[in-house]
Amino acid sequence: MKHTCFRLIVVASSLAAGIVECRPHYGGTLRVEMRTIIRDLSPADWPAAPVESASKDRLMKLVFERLVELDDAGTPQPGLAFTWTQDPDGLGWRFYLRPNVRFHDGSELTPASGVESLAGTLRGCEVMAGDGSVLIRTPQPRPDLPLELASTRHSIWRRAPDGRLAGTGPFRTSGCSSGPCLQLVANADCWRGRPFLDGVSIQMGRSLRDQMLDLELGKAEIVEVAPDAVRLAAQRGARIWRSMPNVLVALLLDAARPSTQDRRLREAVALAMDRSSVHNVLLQNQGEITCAVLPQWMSGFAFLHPPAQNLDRARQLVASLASPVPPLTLACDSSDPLAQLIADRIALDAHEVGITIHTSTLRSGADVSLVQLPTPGPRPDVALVEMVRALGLNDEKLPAPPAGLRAVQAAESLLLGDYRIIPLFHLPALYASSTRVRSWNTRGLAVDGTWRFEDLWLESEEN
Amino acid sequence: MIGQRTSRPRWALTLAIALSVAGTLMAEESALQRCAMELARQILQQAAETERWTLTVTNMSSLGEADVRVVREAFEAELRGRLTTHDGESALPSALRLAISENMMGFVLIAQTQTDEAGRTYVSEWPRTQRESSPAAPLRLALNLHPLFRQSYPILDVVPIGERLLVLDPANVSLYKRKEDRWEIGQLLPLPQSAALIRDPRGRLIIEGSSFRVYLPGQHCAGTVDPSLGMDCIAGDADWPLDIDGAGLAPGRNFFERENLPPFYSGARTSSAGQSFLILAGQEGTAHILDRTLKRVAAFHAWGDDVAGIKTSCGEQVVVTLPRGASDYDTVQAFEIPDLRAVAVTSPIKLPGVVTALWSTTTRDNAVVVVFDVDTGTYEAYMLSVDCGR
Repeated sequence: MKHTCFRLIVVASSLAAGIVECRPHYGGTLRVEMRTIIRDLSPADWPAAPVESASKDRLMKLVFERLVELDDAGTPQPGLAFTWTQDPDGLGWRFYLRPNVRFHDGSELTPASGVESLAGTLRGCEVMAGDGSVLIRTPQPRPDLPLELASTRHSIWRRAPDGRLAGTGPFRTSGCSSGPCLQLVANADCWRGRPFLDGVSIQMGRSLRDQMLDLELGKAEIVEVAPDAVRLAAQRGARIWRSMPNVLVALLLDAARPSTQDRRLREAVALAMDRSSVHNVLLQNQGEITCAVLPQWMSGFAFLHPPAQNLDRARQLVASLASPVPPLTLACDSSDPLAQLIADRIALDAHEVGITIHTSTLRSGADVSLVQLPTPGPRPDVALVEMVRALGLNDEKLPAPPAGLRAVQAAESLLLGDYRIIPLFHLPALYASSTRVRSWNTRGLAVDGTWRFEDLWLESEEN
Repeated sequence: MIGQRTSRPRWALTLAIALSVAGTLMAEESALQRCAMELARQILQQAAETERWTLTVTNMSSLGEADVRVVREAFEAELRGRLTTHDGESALPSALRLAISENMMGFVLIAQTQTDEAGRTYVSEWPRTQRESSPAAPLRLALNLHPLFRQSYPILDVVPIGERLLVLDPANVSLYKRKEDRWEIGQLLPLPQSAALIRDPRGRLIIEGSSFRVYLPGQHCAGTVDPSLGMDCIAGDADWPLDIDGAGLAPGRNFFERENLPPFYSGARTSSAGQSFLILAGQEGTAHILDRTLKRVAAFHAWGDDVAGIKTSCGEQVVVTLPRGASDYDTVQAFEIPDLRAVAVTSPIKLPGVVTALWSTTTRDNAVVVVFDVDTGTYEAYMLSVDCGR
């Protein structure tokens, strides 16, 4: 694996003839489409579903900022706080606010507004306004507090007099004309500089098929694309944008179901999986095959769990079970045709070792679920904790961030050894874009798939 | 006071620049060694006194052979006499696998011992540090490119002053001294914070003897290099030194404005057959050629957004960026303008990133080009010159 593996790969599938502009131009509205529907950007309310949660996270980062931000290596960097200090007792933190920062409604960022935002999200902590700073006292030493404050859940915001949510980020929210959508307008007073775009128009609830049609008809500039549609989109002249493989596709075996209580059965399911054929055919080689929760680019130790189909061992395990294996129900996302194909393939693999799996699009009553879970990167310690919680697995033995890799690796091994979660693939976030979309100084996507629309600009249409 | 971070850490930035410029190979090697030794100590703590291993090393990282050797030697040294090959008489040694891996945050050493079915895994890590790569090989083209300076923070302009280098970035004016083959930070003057930043920041540095002038969005400064670095700044817009009088940066934008002219990203004066022309790289992707009266006499449509005029012993050339398309790498080429035609006089040179600044030097015999490498996140300044000897 070469160092290049660690760079966000943005592949231009074809060069647009006639592109002459180099420096970013101001103006234009970027039209984006997505499947999920996010009706509320309030940091106080989070969707339970991981995919929706990740979508909301992406949208919020366009509007709101945090006291602390993480760079691509997961190191806390100044955000709305330009510096911070920790008291010698380890319990008190002081975050000094950047001066001359204004919310979208024109009001100034003050310690009081910082306290107002954080008091509701930092449970168990005492949050106070200081002189140009926000003071946070924790009941126990919290060396991870800057890390935690980098989470979107701790965004700094206020409710403007007109009822709208006001942040300090590169875009402010505006009205939406029709359907589930979000209109964003450039924040001319953004302390980091006005975005090049005048605005962003995000249409939600669009199927992948409709998104691709809209891209081809010039009704959208950035759309989501499924792994099995990447090749076709590129052939039709779209640019393909890929994040690092940051979405875990896995089987989750319900701990509450009697049918999956025997560890030998769970291990047999894991050993029956032929990941390669799914990866080659259905996923068209997008992303990576995996048997680890955390992707290799994030942890560095995913290779310790090499994918290995072992049908003989799986059959032995099934044969060793005291009673015949009852049929299992595997649930997958009804709105995702690719997920249904993968589920069918899994059922076929399980059948090879004597396990009957019926696929279903109903979650309730299912023994096994095919889940897609975004890995909240780039820190492996934070990602593991958040993923385990999102999956509803036991998080008691997880090391609290910040934790060293040794502890994270041990915890992940323990988790995998229980076979409640059977990782299959790590997929990248995939987007197809018009060749008019250009980026400046950063890629259009961060390594974790975060949108960086503030650094995008639009090529003139006549070019 | 612990756990401190700052967005404008002058001392940290200075240190980072110094480290980056000076190179950190030795420091990284010792970090590698420490990491390998720490891993070996983890193994020794857990293993029985009598345990012996046969070692295999796998490199899954971007580290080169030399670094892998450093890791291996440090690891082996720490394990001293515990590594062996099986001689057929003593107890069978266990397998010890050492993998060198990496993640976004740094490098990871992972050792696995296989004494029984259970096996053990040991992990040690060290953060990635910026590492200097060799300067680009000199290009044997009519257009010459000489590396001057690099840092991970935007470079707006640089001016060599003998064995010193004055560097303008959005936060500081810094004076570096040459020490052997590297630049060492001498003095650093913070710039007053402007009201709002620009995402495509522009800045110019003009040297006149031991004095200098700085042009930035919303402020301009005047200072001296000797006897010590000093500077006074004034808030407000001023005309920029652009080969055209009365032009200034549009407020909050990355382009210039002047009465009776369309907005433009850059301008260069050149002459041909005794006639002087002004070239403006317009926003719409067109280079406008203006005569002395600022009347448009020609337009070129195949140039990029940055132009700079150079005067050499073989005439006057205009160095321009060429259309990039969807690439992350810009190309520059020199042209002359005989009979209002753009005639290429050098081969194009592909740069190691996108051009963020292209300015004629004060003496106009060269140009400074700043390139941002999207892959490494570093800004690199080069001196561009036209070689007349070809």
